[in-house]
Amino acid sequence: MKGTVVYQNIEGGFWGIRGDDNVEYLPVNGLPREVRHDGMRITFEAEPASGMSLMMWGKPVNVRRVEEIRN
Amino acid sequence: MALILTITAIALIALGAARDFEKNQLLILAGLVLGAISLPMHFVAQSTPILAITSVAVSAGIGFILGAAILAARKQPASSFVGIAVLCFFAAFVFRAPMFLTNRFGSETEAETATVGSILVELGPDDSIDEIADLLAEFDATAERAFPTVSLESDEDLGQTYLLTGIRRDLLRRLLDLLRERLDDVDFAEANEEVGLMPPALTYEALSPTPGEYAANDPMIDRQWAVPAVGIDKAHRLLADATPIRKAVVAILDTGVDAVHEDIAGVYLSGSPAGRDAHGHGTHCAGIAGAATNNGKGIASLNWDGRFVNIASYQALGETGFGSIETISQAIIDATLDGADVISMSFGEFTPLTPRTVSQAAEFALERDVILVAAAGNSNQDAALHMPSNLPGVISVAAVDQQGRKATFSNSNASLTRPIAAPGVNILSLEQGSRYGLKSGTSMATPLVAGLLGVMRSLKPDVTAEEAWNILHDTGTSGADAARIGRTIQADEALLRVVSRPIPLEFAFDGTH
Repeated sequence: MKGTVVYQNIEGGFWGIRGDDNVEYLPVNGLPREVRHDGMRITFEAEPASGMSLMMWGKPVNVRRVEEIRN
Repeated sequence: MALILTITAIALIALGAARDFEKNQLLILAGLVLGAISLPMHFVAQSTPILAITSVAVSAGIGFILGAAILAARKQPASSFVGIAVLCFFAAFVFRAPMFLTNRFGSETEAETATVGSILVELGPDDSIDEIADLLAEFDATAERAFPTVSLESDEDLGQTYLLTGIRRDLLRRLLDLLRERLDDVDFAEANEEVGLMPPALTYEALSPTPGEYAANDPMIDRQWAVPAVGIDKAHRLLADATPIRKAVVAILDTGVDAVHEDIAGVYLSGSPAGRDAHGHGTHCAGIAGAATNNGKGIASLNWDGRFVNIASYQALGETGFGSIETISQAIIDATLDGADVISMSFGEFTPLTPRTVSQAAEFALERDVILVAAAGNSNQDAALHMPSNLPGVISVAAVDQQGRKATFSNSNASLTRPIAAPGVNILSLEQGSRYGLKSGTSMATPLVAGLLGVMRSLKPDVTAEEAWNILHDTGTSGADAARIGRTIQADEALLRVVSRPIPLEFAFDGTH
Protein backbone atom coordinates (compact mmCIF):
# COMPACT_ATOMS: atom_id res chain seq x y z
CA MET A 1 0.00 0.00 0.00
CA LYS A 2 1.11 3.58 -0.60
CA GLY A 3 0.76 6.50 1.72
CA THR A 4 2.27 9.63 3.22
CA VAL A 5 4.03 9.94 6.55
CA VAL A 6 2.39 12.56 8.77
CA TYR A 7 3.48 14.06 12.06
CA GLN A 8 0.60 14.73 14.43
CA ASN A 9 1.32 17.50 16.89
CA ILE A 10 -1.19 16.27 19.44
CA GLU A 11 -0.83 14.23 22.61
CA GLY A 12 2.83 15.20 22.76
CA GLY A 13 3.42 14.37 19.08
CA PHE A 14 3.57 11.10 17.14
CA TRP A 15 4.06 9.71 13.62
CA GLY A 16 1.28 8.23 11.50
CA ILE A 17 0.51 7.29 7.92
CA ARG A 18 -2.21 8.76 5.75
CA GLY A 19 -2.91 5.99 3.24
CA ASP A 20 -3.75 6.66 -0.37
CA ASP A 21 -7.00 4.86 0.44
CA ASN A 22 -7.85 7.92 2.60
CA VAL A 23 -7.50 5.91 5.81
CA GLU A 24 -5.23 7.10 8.63
CA TYR A 25 -3.00 4.41 10.12
CA LEU A 26 -1.38 4.48 13.56
CA PRO A 27 1.70 2.23 13.70
CA VAL A 28 1.61 0.55 17.12
CA ASN A 29 5.23 -0.54 16.64
CA GLY A 30 6.33 2.93 15.52
CA LEU A 31 8.01 3.99 12.30
CA PRO A 32 11.74 3.60 11.56
CA ARG A 33 13.74 6.79 12.05
CA GLU A 34 14.64 6.89 8.32
CA VAL A 35 11.06 7.51 7.27
CA ARG A 36 10.09 9.92 10.03
CA HIS A 37 9.73 12.88 7.70
CA ASP A 38 6.44 14.73 7.48
CA GLY A 39 5.14 14.41 3.93
CA MET A 40 7.44 11.57 2.86
CA ARG A 41 5.80 9.25 0.33
CA ILE A 42 6.13 5.59 1.26
CA THR A 43 5.03 2.09 0.42
CA PHE A 44 4.21 -0.07 3.40
CA GLU A 45 2.84 -3.40 4.48
CA ALA A 46 0.85 -3.58 7.69
CA GLU A 47 -1.43 -5.85 9.62
CA PRO A 48 -4.42 -4.72 11.67
CA ALA A 49 -3.69 -4.34 15.37
CA SER A 50 -5.96 -3.77 18.31
CA GLY A 51 -5.66 -1.82 21.50
CA MET A 52 -6.63 1.52 22.88
CA SER A 53 -4.12 4.34 22.82
CA LEU A 54 -3.57 7.81 24.13
CA MET A 55 -3.14 9.03 20.54
CA MET A 56 -6.80 8.26 19.75
CA TRP A 57 -6.02 8.78 16.08
CA GLY A 58 -6.05 6.48 13.10
CA LYS A 59 -6.47 2.76 12.69
CA PRO A 60 -3.91 0.81 14.78
CA VAL A 61 -1.62 -1.35 12.63
CA ASN A 62 1.58 -3.33 12.96
CA VAL A 63 3.87 -2.09 10.21
CA ARG A 64 5.80 -5.03 8.73
CA ARG A 65 7.69 -3.24 5.97
CA VAL A 66 8.08 0.39 5.00
CA GLU A 67 10.10 2.00 2.24
CA GLU A 68 10.45 5.50 0.83
CA ILE A 69 9.14 6.07 -2.67
CA ARG A 70 11.93 7.73 -4.62
CA ASN A 71 11.09 9.62 -7.79
CA MET B 1 8.61 33.58 -6.02
CA ALA B 2 7.38 36.10 -8.62
CA LEU B 3 7.96 38.88 -6.11
CA ILE B 4 11.56 37.81 -5.45
CA LEU B 5 12.35 37.40 -9.16
CA THR B 6 10.99 40.86 -10.00
CA ILE B 7 12.94 42.51 -7.19
CA THR B 8 16.11 40.67 -8.26
CA ALA B 9 15.57 41.68 -11.89
CA ILE B 10 15.36 45.37 -11.09
CA ALA B 11 18.28 45.17 -8.69
CA LEU B 12 20.39 43.62 -11.50
CA ILE B 13 19.36 46.41 -13.88
CA ALA B 14 20.39 48.95 -11.22
CA LEU B 15 23.76 47.25 -10.83
CA GLY B 16 24.21 47.38 -14.58
CA ALA B 17 23.25 51.03 -14.66
CA ALA B 18 26.11 51.90 -12.34
CA ARG B 19 28.65 53.26 -14.82
CA ASP B 20 31.75 51.96 -13.04
CA PHE B 21 30.64 48.41 -13.33
CA GLU B 22 32.45 46.54 -16.11
CA LYS B 23 29.86 43.95 -17.08
CA ASN B 24 26.97 46.35 -17.10
CA GLN B 25 25.40 45.19 -20.37
CA LEU B 26 25.32 41.55 -19.26
CA LEU B 27 23.71 42.47 -15.93
CA ILE B 28 21.07 44.63 -17.58
CA LEU B 29 20.30 41.79 -20.02
CA ALA B 30 20.02 39.28 -17.13
CA GLY B 31 17.72 41.69 -15.30
CA LEU B 32 15.48 42.09 -18.33
CA VAL B 33 15.27 38.31 -18.86
CA LEU B 34 14.39 37.72 -15.19
CA GLY B 35 11.80 40.49 -15.36
CA ALA B 36 10.24 38.94 -18.44
CA ILE B 37 10.08 35.56 -16.71
CA SER B 38 8.61 36.94 -13.49
CA LEU B 39 5.87 39.01 -15.14
CA PRO B 40 3.57 36.13 -16.17
CA MET B 41 4.27 34.43 -12.84
CA HIS B 42 2.41 37.24 -11.06
CA PHE B 43 -0.66 36.52 -13.15
CA VAL B 44 -0.45 32.79 -12.42
CA ALA B 45 0.02 33.34 -8.68
CA GLN B 46 -2.80 35.83 -8.23
CA SER B 47 -6.46 35.00 -8.62
CA THR B 48 -7.45 38.20 -10.50
CA PRO B 49 -5.68 40.51 -13.01
CA ILE B 50 -6.05 43.42 -10.59
CA LEU B 51 -4.22 41.54 -7.87
CA ALA B 52 -1.56 40.48 -10.40
CA ILE B 53 -0.96 44.08 -11.52
CA THR B 54 -0.83 45.13 -7.87
CA SER B 55 1.69 42.38 -7.21
CA VAL B 56 3.86 43.56 -10.13
CA ALA B 57 3.69 47.17 -8.93
CA VAL B 58 4.66 46.34 -5.33
CA SER B 59 7.50 44.05 -6.45
CA ALA B 60 8.80 46.65 -8.88
CA GLY B 61 8.56 49.38 -6.23
CA ILE B 62 10.65 47.35 -3.79
CA GLY B 63 13.09 46.51 -6.60
CA PHE B 64 13.54 50.16 -7.57
CA ILE B 65 14.09 51.16 -3.92
CA LEU B 66 16.76 48.46 -3.69
CA GLY B 67 18.20 49.65 -7.01
CA ALA B 68 18.30 53.24 -5.76
CA ALA B 69 20.19 52.08 -2.69
CA ILE B 70 22.72 50.25 -4.89
CA LEU B 71 23.23 53.32 -7.10
CA ALA B 72 23.57 55.59 -4.07
CA ALA B 73 26.13 53.23 -2.55
CA ARG B 74 28.17 53.54 -5.77
CA LYS B 75 27.74 57.32 -5.69
CA GLN B 76 25.57 57.28 -8.82
CA PRO B 77 22.44 59.44 -9.30
CA ALA B 78 19.51 57.47 -7.82
CA SER B 79 16.67 59.99 -8.00
CA SER B 80 15.14 58.44 -11.16
CA PHE B 81 14.92 55.01 -9.45
CA VAL B 82 13.34 56.59 -6.35
CA GLY B 83 10.84 58.42 -8.53
CA ILE B 84 9.86 55.23 -10.38
CA ALA B 85 9.53 53.38 -7.06
CA VAL B 86 7.15 56.04 -5.76
CA LEU B 87 5.07 55.74 -8.93
CA CYS B 88 4.96 51.94 -8.54
CA PHE B 89 3.78 52.15 -4.94
CA PHE B 90 1.18 54.75 -5.89
CA ALA B 91 -0.09 52.40 -8.62
CA ALA B 92 -0.19 49.52 -6.16
CA PHE B 93 -2.16 51.65 -3.73
CA VAL B 94 -4.67 52.49 -6.41
CA PHE B 95 -4.94 48.80 -7.36
CA ARG B 96 -6.11 47.61 -3.98
CA ALA B 97 -2.76 47.40 -2.28
CA PRO B 98 -4.25 46.92 1.18
CA MET B 99 -6.01 43.74 0.03
CA PHE B 100 -2.86 42.47 -1.65
CA LEU B 101 -0.70 43.03 1.39
CA THR B 102 -3.24 41.31 3.63
CA ASN B 103 -3.28 38.25 1.40
CA ARG B 104 0.44 38.18 0.88
CA PHE B 105 1.76 38.87 4.31
CA GLY B 106 -1.13 37.77 6.55
CA SER B 107 -0.72 35.02 9.07
CA GLU B 108 -0.32 31.47 7.90
CA THR B 109 -3.53 30.50 9.64
CA GLU B 110 -5.47 33.13 7.76
CA ALA B 111 -3.91 31.98 4.51
CA GLU B 112 -4.77 28.36 5.19
CA THR B 113 -8.31 29.28 6.15
CA ALA B 114 -8.65 31.23 2.93
CA THR B 115 -7.53 28.32 0.75
CA VAL B 116 -9.81 25.58 2.05
CA GLY B 117 -13.54 25.36 2.12
CA SER B 118 -16.35 23.01 3.05
CA ILE B 119 -19.48 21.57 1.51
CA LEU B 120 -22.75 20.37 3.02
CA VAL B 121 -24.06 17.30 1.23
CA GLU B 122 -27.34 15.51 1.86
CA LEU B 123 -27.42 11.84 0.92
CA GLY B 124 -30.49 9.86 0.01
CA PRO B 125 -32.26 8.10 2.91
CA ASP B 126 -30.81 4.71 1.96
CA ASP B 127 -27.35 5.92 0.94
CA SER B 128 -24.07 5.76 2.82
CA ILE B 129 -21.17 8.21 2.89
CA ASP B 130 -19.00 5.32 1.66
CA GLU B 131 -20.74 5.59 -1.71
CA ILE B 132 -18.97 8.89 -2.37
CA ALA B 133 -15.68 7.83 -0.78
CA ASP B 134 -13.95 7.92 -4.17
CA LEU B 135 -14.77 11.60 -4.57
CA LEU B 136 -13.69 12.38 -1.01
CA ALA B 137 -10.37 10.67 -1.63
CA GLU B 138 -9.85 12.44 -4.94
CA PHE B 139 -10.37 15.86 -3.33
CA ASP B 140 -8.65 15.08 0.01
CA ALA B 141 -11.91 15.85 1.78
CA THR B 142 -12.98 14.44 5.10
CA ALA B 143 -16.59 13.85 6.06
CA GLU B 144 -18.48 13.87 9.31
CA ARG B 145 -22.17 14.08 10.08
CA ALA B 146 -23.16 17.74 10.13
CA PHE B 147 -25.85 17.27 12.76
CA PRO B 148 -24.93 14.22 14.81
CA THR B 149 -27.67 14.93 17.34
CA VAL B 150 -30.34 14.40 14.69
CA SER B 151 -31.04 10.75 13.98
CA LEU B 152 -32.18 9.44 10.63
CA GLU B 153 -35.44 8.38 12.25
CA SER B 154 -36.21 11.85 13.55
CA ASP B 155 -35.28 13.68 10.36
CA GLU B 156 -34.20 11.84 7.24
CA ASP B 157 -32.80 15.02 5.64
CA LEU B 158 -30.69 16.44 8.49
CA GLY B 159 -29.82 12.94 9.62
CA GLN B 160 -28.24 12.25 6.25
CA THR B 161 -26.42 15.59 5.94
CA TYR B 162 -22.62 15.49 6.03
CA LEU B 163 -20.05 18.24 6.32
CA LEU B 164 -17.16 17.78 3.89
CA THR B 165 -14.09 19.74 4.97
CA GLY B 166 -10.50 20.37 3.90
CA ILE B 167 -11.38 21.03 0.24
CA ARG B 168 -9.14 23.38 -1.70
CA ARG B 169 -11.16 26.45 -2.55
CA ASP B 170 -10.16 26.38 -6.19
CA LEU B 171 -11.56 22.82 -6.40
CA LEU B 172 -14.75 23.49 -4.44
CA ARG B 173 -16.91 24.24 -7.47
CA ARG B 174 -15.63 21.16 -9.31
CA LEU B 175 -16.45 18.86 -6.38
CA LEU B 176 -19.89 20.46 -6.02
CA ASP B 177 -20.59 19.75 -9.68
CA LEU B 178 -19.45 16.12 -9.36
CA LEU B 179 -21.57 15.60 -6.25
CA ARG B 180 -24.62 17.01 -7.97
CA GLU B 181 -24.07 14.57 -10.84
CA ARG B 182 -24.35 11.63 -8.38
CA LEU B 183 -28.13 11.60 -8.54
CA ASP B 184 -28.28 8.04 -7.18
CA ASP B 185 -26.46 8.95 -3.95
CA VAL B 186 -26.76 12.69 -3.40
CA ASP B 187 -30.01 14.56 -2.84
CA PHE B 188 -28.46 17.98 -2.37
CA ALA B 189 -25.07 19.67 -2.12
CA GLU B 190 -24.10 23.24 -1.37
CA ALA B 191 -21.01 25.19 -0.40
CA ASN B 192 -20.87 25.73 3.36
CA GLU B 193 -20.51 29.50 3.21
CA GLU B 194 -20.01 31.25 6.50
CA VAL B 195 -22.86 33.57 7.37
CA GLY B 196 -22.41 36.39 9.80
CA LEU B 197 -21.80 40.05 10.28
CA MET B 198 -18.31 39.93 11.76
CA PRO B 199 -16.05 37.32 13.31
CA PRO B 200 -16.52 37.06 17.07
CA ALA B 201 -14.59 39.92 18.61
CA LEU B 202 -14.16 38.35 22.04
CA THR B 203 -11.72 35.48 22.32
CA TYR B 204 -10.66 33.68 25.44
CA GLU B 205 -7.30 35.44 25.43
CA ALA B 206 -9.12 38.71 25.86
CA LEU B 207 -10.54 37.47 29.15
CA SER B 208 -7.15 37.09 30.83
CA PRO B 209 -6.75 39.15 33.97
CA THR B 210 -3.65 41.26 33.93
CA PRO B 211 -0.67 39.58 35.63
CA GLY B 212 -0.96 39.75 39.38
CA GLU B 213 -4.75 39.84 39.39
CA TYR B 214 -5.21 36.08 39.75
CA ALA B 215 -6.30 34.73 43.09
CA ALA B 216 -3.73 31.91 42.98
CA ASN B 217 0.00 32.51 43.41
CA ASP B 218 1.18 29.72 41.08
CA PRO B 219 3.87 31.40 38.96
CA MET B 220 2.89 29.88 35.60
CA ILE B 221 -0.81 30.74 35.81
CA ASP B 222 -0.36 33.58 33.31
CA ARG B 223 0.39 30.95 30.64
CA GLN B 224 -2.79 28.95 31.32
CA TRP B 225 -5.39 30.41 28.98
CA ALA B 226 -8.01 27.99 30.26
CA VAL B 227 -7.93 29.58 33.73
CA PRO B 228 -9.92 32.68 32.79
CA ALA B 229 -11.67 30.98 29.84
CA VAL B 230 -13.71 28.47 31.83
CA GLY B 231 -14.05 30.29 35.14
CA ILE B 232 -11.19 28.62 37.01
CA ASP B 233 -9.98 31.92 38.44
CA LYS B 234 -13.48 32.73 39.69
CA ALA B 235 -13.70 29.21 41.10
CA HIS B 236 -10.48 29.82 43.03
CA ARG B 237 -12.06 32.79 44.79
CA LEU B 238 -15.03 30.60 45.68
CA LEU B 239 -12.92 27.67 46.87
CA ALA B 240 -10.62 29.84 48.97
CA ASP B 241 -13.51 30.30 51.42
CA ALA B 242 -15.02 26.82 51.04
CA THR B 243 -14.44 23.73 53.13
CA PRO B 244 -14.74 20.31 51.50
CA ILE B 245 -16.96 17.77 53.24
CA ARG B 246 -14.30 15.21 52.42
CA LYS B 247 -11.35 15.03 50.06
CA ALA B 248 -12.28 13.32 46.80
CA VAL B 249 -10.08 10.95 44.77
CA VAL B 250 -9.53 11.43 41.06
CA ALA B 251 -7.98 8.35 39.46
CA ILE B 252 -5.81 8.92 36.41
CA LEU B 253 -5.84 5.78 34.25
CA ASP B 254 -2.91 6.35 31.94
CA THR B 255 0.85 5.78 31.56
CA GLY B 256 1.42 6.34 35.28
CA VAL B 257 2.15 9.58 37.13
CA ASP B 258 5.46 11.02 38.29
CA ALA B 259 4.41 10.98 41.94
CA VAL B 260 7.38 13.04 43.13
CA HIS B 261 6.79 15.98 40.79
CA GLU B 262 6.98 19.16 42.87
CA ASP B 263 3.46 20.23 41.91
CA ILE B 264 1.69 16.90 42.48
CA ALA B 265 3.62 15.19 45.30
CA GLY B 266 1.58 16.90 48.02
CA VAL B 267 -1.73 15.61 46.69
CA TYR B 268 -0.65 12.24 45.33
CA LEU B 269 -2.44 9.40 47.12
CA SER B 270 0.09 7.38 49.03
CA GLY B 271 0.18 3.74 47.95
CA SER B 272 -1.37 4.43 44.57
CA PRO B 273 -0.08 1.71 42.23
CA ALA B 274 1.42 3.65 39.29
CA GLY B 275 3.68 6.31 40.77
CA ARG B 276 6.15 6.37 37.90
CA ASP B 277 5.63 7.53 34.35
CA ALA B 278 8.00 6.47 31.56
CA HIS B 279 5.96 8.31 28.91
CA GLY B 280 4.84 11.60 30.44
CA HIS B 281 1.23 11.62 29.25
CA GLY B 282 -0.21 10.51 32.58
CA THR B 283 1.78 13.10 34.52
CA HIS B 284 0.49 15.84 32.22
CA CYS B 285 -3.09 14.67 32.75
CA ALA B 286 -2.62 14.44 36.50
CA GLY B 287 -1.44 18.04 36.73
CA ILE B 288 -4.47 19.28 34.84
CA ALA B 289 -6.78 17.31 37.10
CA GLY B 290 -5.33 18.28 40.44
CA ALA B 291 -1.92 19.97 40.64
CA ALA B 292 -1.51 21.58 44.02
CA THR B 293 -2.75 25.13 43.60
CA ASN B 294 -1.85 28.36 45.40
CA ASN B 295 1.34 26.64 46.55
CA GLY B 296 3.71 29.09 44.87
CA LYS B 297 4.89 26.43 42.41
CA GLY B 298 4.20 25.65 38.77
CA ILE B 299 0.64 25.66 37.49
CA ALA B 300 -2.86 26.02 38.87
CA SER B 301 -5.68 23.48 38.74
CA LEU B 302 -8.99 23.57 40.60
CA ASN B 303 -7.38 21.90 43.63
CA TRP B 304 -7.11 25.04 45.78
CA ASP B 305 -4.49 24.65 48.52
CA GLY B 306 -4.53 20.93 47.62
CA ARG B 307 -7.51 20.60 49.99
CA PHE B 308 -10.17 19.20 47.65
CA VAL B 309 -8.72 16.36 45.60
CA ASN B 310 -6.16 13.60 45.88
CA ILE B 311 -4.69 12.12 42.73
CA ALA B 312 -4.38 8.35 42.29
CA SER B 313 -2.87 6.65 39.25
CA TYR B 314 -3.34 3.27 37.58
CA GLN B 315 -1.30 1.72 34.79
CA ALA B 316 -3.85 1.40 31.97
CA LEU B 317 -1.30 2.17 29.23
CA GLY B 318 2.28 1.10 28.65
CA GLU B 319 5.20 3.39 27.99
CA THR B 320 4.43 3.45 24.26
CA GLY B 321 0.96 4.79 24.99
CA PHE B 322 -1.05 1.67 24.16
CA GLY B 323 -3.18 -0.45 26.46
CA SER B 324 -4.93 -3.78 26.17
CA ILE B 325 -8.51 -4.61 27.07
CA GLU B 326 -7.17 -6.41 30.10
CA THR B 327 -4.95 -3.62 31.46
CA ILE B 328 -7.66 -1.03 30.96
CA SER B 329 -10.45 -3.13 32.48
CA GLN B 330 -8.21 -4.03 35.41
CA ALA B 331 -7.35 -0.38 36.01
CA ILE B 332 -11.06 0.58 36.07
CA ILE B 333 -11.85 -2.21 38.52
CA ASP B 334 -8.85 -1.45 40.77
CA ALA B 335 -9.61 2.27 40.93
CA THR B 336 -13.23 1.51 41.77
CA LEU B 337 -12.34 -0.93 44.53
CA ASP B 338 -9.83 1.61 45.93
CA GLY B 339 -12.65 4.12 46.34
CA ALA B 340 -12.09 6.53 43.46
CA ASP B 341 -14.76 9.20 43.06
CA VAL B 342 -13.85 10.04 39.47
CA ILE B 343 -11.99 7.99 36.86
CA SER B 344 -10.28 9.96 34.10
CA MET B 345 -9.55 8.04 30.88
CA SER B 346 -7.53 9.90 28.25
CA PHE B 347 -7.39 7.06 25.73
CA GLY B 348 -9.63 5.23 23.30
CA GLU B 349 -10.15 3.44 20.04
CA PHE B 350 -12.68 3.40 17.24
CA THR B 351 -14.38 0.03 17.23
CA PRO B 352 -17.75 -1.13 15.92
CA LEU B 353 -17.94 -3.77 18.67
CA THR B 354 -17.35 -2.65 22.23
CA PRO B 355 -15.17 -5.16 24.09
CA ARG B 356 -17.46 -6.88 26.56
CA THR B 357 -14.87 -6.81 29.33
CA VAL B 358 -14.32 -3.05 29.20
CA SER B 359 -18.05 -2.50 29.07
CA GLN B 360 -18.55 -4.70 32.11
CA ALA B 361 -15.74 -2.96 33.99
CA ALA B 362 -17.38 0.40 33.30
CA GLU B 363 -20.72 -0.93 34.52
CA PHE B 364 -18.97 -2.22 37.64
CA ALA B 365 -17.69 1.29 38.36
CA LEU B 366 -20.95 3.09 37.55
CA GLU B 367 -22.92 0.77 39.82
CA ARG B 368 -20.63 1.91 42.65
CA ASP B 369 -21.28 5.62 41.98
CA VAL B 370 -17.94 6.27 40.33
CA ILE B 371 -18.06 9.08 37.77
CA LEU B 372 -16.42 7.95 34.51
CA VAL B 373 -14.91 10.56 32.20
CA ALA B 374 -13.32 9.70 28.83
CA ALA B 375 -11.74 11.57 25.94
CA ALA B 376 -13.81 11.83 22.75
CA GLY B 377 -10.74 11.16 20.57
CA ASN B 378 -8.59 13.06 18.09
CA SER B 379 -9.68 11.97 14.60
CA ASN B 380 -12.05 14.84 13.76
CA GLN B 381 -14.89 12.34 13.35
CA ASP B 382 -18.13 11.50 15.05
CA ALA B 383 -17.23 9.73 18.30
CA ALA B 384 -20.27 7.43 18.15
CA LEU B 385 -17.97 4.41 17.77
CA HIS B 386 -15.12 5.74 19.92
CA MET B 387 -14.74 3.57 22.99
CA PRO B 388 -14.77 4.01 26.02
CA SER B 389 -16.21 7.53 25.58
CA ASN B 390 -19.30 6.03 23.89
CA LEU B 391 -20.17 3.69 26.75
CA PRO B 392 -23.49 4.38 28.46
CA GLY B 393 -23.09 6.63 31.47
CA VAL B 394 -19.61 7.85 30.55
CA ILE B 395 -19.06 11.61 30.25
CA SER B 396 -17.41 12.18 26.88
CA VAL B 397 -15.08 15.17 26.58
CA ALA B 398 -14.30 17.05 23.36
CA ALA B 399 -11.64 19.75 23.10
CA VAL B 400 -12.00 23.46 22.35
CA ASP B 401 -9.30 25.92 21.36
CA GLN B 402 -8.49 29.45 22.54
CA GLN B 403 -11.28 30.85 20.40
CA GLY B 404 -13.81 28.56 22.03
CA ARG B 405 -14.22 26.59 18.79
CA LYS B 406 -13.97 22.82 18.41
CA ALA B 407 -10.29 21.94 18.20
CA THR B 408 -9.54 20.88 14.63
CA PHE B 409 -8.51 17.39 15.73
CA SER B 410 -11.30 16.79 18.25
CA ASN B 411 -13.99 14.24 17.56
CA SER B 412 -17.59 15.40 17.75
CA ASN B 413 -19.36 13.87 20.73
CA ALA B 414 -22.87 15.32 20.49
CA SER B 415 -24.22 11.95 19.34
CA LEU B 416 -23.28 10.44 22.71
CA THR B 417 -25.40 10.53 25.85
CA ARG B 418 -23.20 12.77 28.02
CA PRO B 419 -21.18 15.16 25.85
CA ILE B 420 -19.23 18.09 27.24
CA ALA B 421 -16.30 20.20 26.05
CA ALA B 422 -13.25 21.73 27.74
CA PRO B 423 -10.00 23.46 26.73
CA GLY B 424 -7.63 21.02 24.98
CA VAL B 425 -5.20 23.06 22.87
CA ASN B 426 -1.83 24.32 24.13
CA ILE B 427 -2.50 23.26 27.68
CA LEU B 428 0.31 23.81 30.17
CA SER B 429 0.85 21.07 32.71
CA LEU B 430 3.43 18.83 34.35
CA GLU B 431 6.25 16.83 32.76
CA GLN B 432 8.41 14.25 34.49
CA GLY B 433 11.25 15.57 36.62
CA SER B 434 9.39 18.60 37.99
CA ARG B 435 9.31 20.19 34.55
CA TYR B 436 6.39 21.77 32.69
CA GLY B 437 5.23 21.72 29.07
CA LEU B 438 2.40 22.26 26.62
CA LYS B 439 0.31 19.51 25.08
CA SER B 440 -2.84 19.43 22.95
CA GLY B 441 -5.49 16.75 22.64
CA THR B 442 -8.82 15.60 23.99
CA SER B 443 -6.61 13.88 26.57
CA MET B 444 -5.94 17.32 28.05
CA ALA B 445 -9.60 18.36 28.08
CA THR B 446 -10.63 15.18 29.91
CA PRO B 447 -8.73 15.58 33.22
CA LEU B 448 -9.87 19.20 33.50
CA VAL B 449 -13.44 17.91 33.57
CA ALA B 450 -12.44 15.06 35.88
CA GLY B 451 -10.75 17.51 38.26
CA LEU B 452 -13.83 19.72 38.32
CA LEU B 453 -16.02 16.69 39.07
CA GLY B 454 -13.63 15.70 41.85
CA VAL B 455 -13.97 19.11 43.51
CA MET B 456 -17.75 18.86 43.11
CA ARG B 457 -17.70 15.48 44.83
CA SER B 458 -15.58 16.90 47.66
CA LEU B 459 -18.17 19.59 48.28
CA LYS B 460 -21.18 17.31 47.76
CA PRO B 461 -20.14 13.66 48.15
CA ASP B 462 -23.55 12.28 47.25
CA VAL B 463 -23.75 13.95 43.86
CA THR B 464 -24.40 11.16 41.32
CA ALA B 465 -22.79 10.78 37.93
CA GLU B 466 -26.02 11.79 36.22
CA GLU B 467 -26.54 14.82 38.47
CA ALA B 468 -22.93 15.86 37.97
CA TRP B 469 -23.21 15.76 34.19
CA ASN B 470 -26.51 17.65 34.33
CA ILE B 471 -24.77 20.38 36.34
CA LEU B 472 -21.89 20.59 33.86
CA HIS B 473 -24.36 20.78 30.99
CA ASP B 474 -26.74 23.27 32.61
CA THR B 475 -23.96 25.64 33.68
CA GLY B 476 -21.82 25.22 30.55
CA THR B 477 -21.59 27.83 27.83
CA SER B 478 -22.92 27.21 24.33
CA GLY B 479 -20.07 28.00 21.99
CA ALA B 480 -20.29 28.19 18.22
CA ASP B 481 -19.78 24.42 17.92
CA ALA B 482 -21.97 23.31 20.83
CA ALA B 483 -24.25 21.40 18.45
CA ARG B 484 -21.29 19.15 17.64
CA ILE B 485 -19.37 18.94 20.93
CA GLY B 486 -21.77 19.89 23.69
CA ARG B 487 -21.42 22.83 26.03
CA THR B 488 -18.10 24.03 27.40
CA ILE B 489 -17.65 23.73 31.15
CA GLN B 490 -17.77 26.79 33.39
CA ALA B 491 -16.06 25.76 36.60
CA ASP B 492 -17.30 28.54 38.88
CA GLU B 493 -20.92 28.17 37.80
CA ALA B 494 -20.80 24.39 38.26
CA LEU B 495 -19.30 24.69 41.75
CA LEU B 496 -21.92 27.20 42.80
CA ARG B 497 -24.47 24.42 42.33
CA VAL B 498 -22.83 22.18 44.91
CA VAL B 499 -21.08 24.46 47.39
CA SER B 500 -22.76 24.70 50.80
CA ARG B 501 -23.35 28.29 51.79
CA PRO B 502 -25.14 29.90 54.74
CA ILE B 503 -28.67 30.95 53.87
CA PRO B 504 -28.87 34.75 53.77
CA LEU B 505 -30.96 36.15 56.62
CA GLU B 506 -33.54 37.74 54.39
CA PHE B 507 -34.45 34.29 53.02
CA ALA B 508 -34.49 32.51 56.38
CA PHE B 509 -37.86 33.43 57.94
CA ASP B 510 -40.89 31.48 56.85
CA GLY B 511 -40.38 30.49 53.28
CA THR B 512 -42.77 33.11 51.91
CA HIS B 513 -40.06 34.58 49.67
